[in-house]
Amino acid sequence: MLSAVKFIGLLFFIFLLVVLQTSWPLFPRQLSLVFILVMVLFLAGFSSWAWLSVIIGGLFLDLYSIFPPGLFCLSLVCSLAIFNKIVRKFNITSGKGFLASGLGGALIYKINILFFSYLFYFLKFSNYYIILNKFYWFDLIWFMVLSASFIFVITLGFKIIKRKAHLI
Amino acid sequence: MKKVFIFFIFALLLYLSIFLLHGENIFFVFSEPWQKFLYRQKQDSIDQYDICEDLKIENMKLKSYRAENETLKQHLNFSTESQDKFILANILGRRYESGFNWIIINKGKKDGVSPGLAVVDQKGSLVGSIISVENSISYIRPLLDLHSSITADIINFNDKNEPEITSGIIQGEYNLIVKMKYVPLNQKVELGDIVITSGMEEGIRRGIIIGQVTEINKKPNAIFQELIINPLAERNLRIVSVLLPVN
Repeated sequence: MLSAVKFIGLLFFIFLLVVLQTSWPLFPRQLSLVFILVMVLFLAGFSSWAWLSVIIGGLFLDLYSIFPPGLFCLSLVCSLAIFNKIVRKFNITSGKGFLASGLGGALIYKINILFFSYLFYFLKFSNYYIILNKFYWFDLIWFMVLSASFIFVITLGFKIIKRKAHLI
Repeated sequence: MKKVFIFFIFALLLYLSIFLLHGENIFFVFSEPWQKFLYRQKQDSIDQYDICEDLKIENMKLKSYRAENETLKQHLNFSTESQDKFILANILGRRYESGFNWIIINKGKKDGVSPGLAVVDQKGSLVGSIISVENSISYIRPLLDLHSSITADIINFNDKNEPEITSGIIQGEYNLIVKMKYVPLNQKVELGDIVITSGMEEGIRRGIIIGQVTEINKKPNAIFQELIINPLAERNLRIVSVLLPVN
């Protein structure tokens, strides 16, 4: 169970990630730091932290969004739920597994955003929906590659450090 | 099961308190200084060969204030000349999602900003338009955005010195270039012509400078010609003006 201090720490860390993502001009615009954090936490075995990050991160992302409130949060929640169902069937511990998980997770997340953008549009909650054109496909591939690379490097690094710490 | 239920209730309460009771303002007030600081990082480069750290920081701060002062002066000059009513706003950040670009500014509904208004830089060139407004922040859709479409005109004078107006629709592409589409083939356009807003949109007056024609694409069997426009608005903006409707 998460303690209050850890919870506040996580809240502040996610807040920093969102501010960094929105306001630092040098940051790659396709990358979603909250999504990467959620995936890394989940793959590293901190699933309760990952679920909490989904809610807080989704909320922060929704605050700075032109889309109606809930799009990013619901997309993240559904992505993690689907990802959880799929990952349970496999024992992911290798580098290849992390890379494949990163690619798969990124694809699921983008499909969810697309689905909810259309759902909100048809329910008249939003005036915008994501258009499926050549720019979207390019963006999707770029997002998957970037996210998978970051998830792979961070999760693998974390696992190696954890293993070494156990040996010592 | 109990844990899941508590978690669900927590998330629901959090969302209701923030989005229905406008609790987001607390978050915006807290995050604004951080965002301003981060957004300025790209522009304020420090000379790496400076020796004294304190002087370097002081110098950077002074440079930053000077640049901001100049920008504000230019904004005021432009607005006095054009007699537009305007609101100055700081850019807090930019976001991108699946082809959608939006710029976040620190002025919102409580300052009089409403959707559809034009946003210009210090020289009066169009940056984009307001697409969505919160109580204390607003979102701008930049000209370069794929979903941006603004009606525009090019005014030329013929041999008899009579004005000829060429109309079309301005749209962004690749987030890099701006195109003027649906321009009839028989309309005469020259490289270097200035493109202005036509005033067809509610909230965007006629005559705001958009850019300059840099390329003309004419295909043999097409009905329309396509113009590549170089937007005259600055790329690395910090401060923008939201033009208010005259009435």
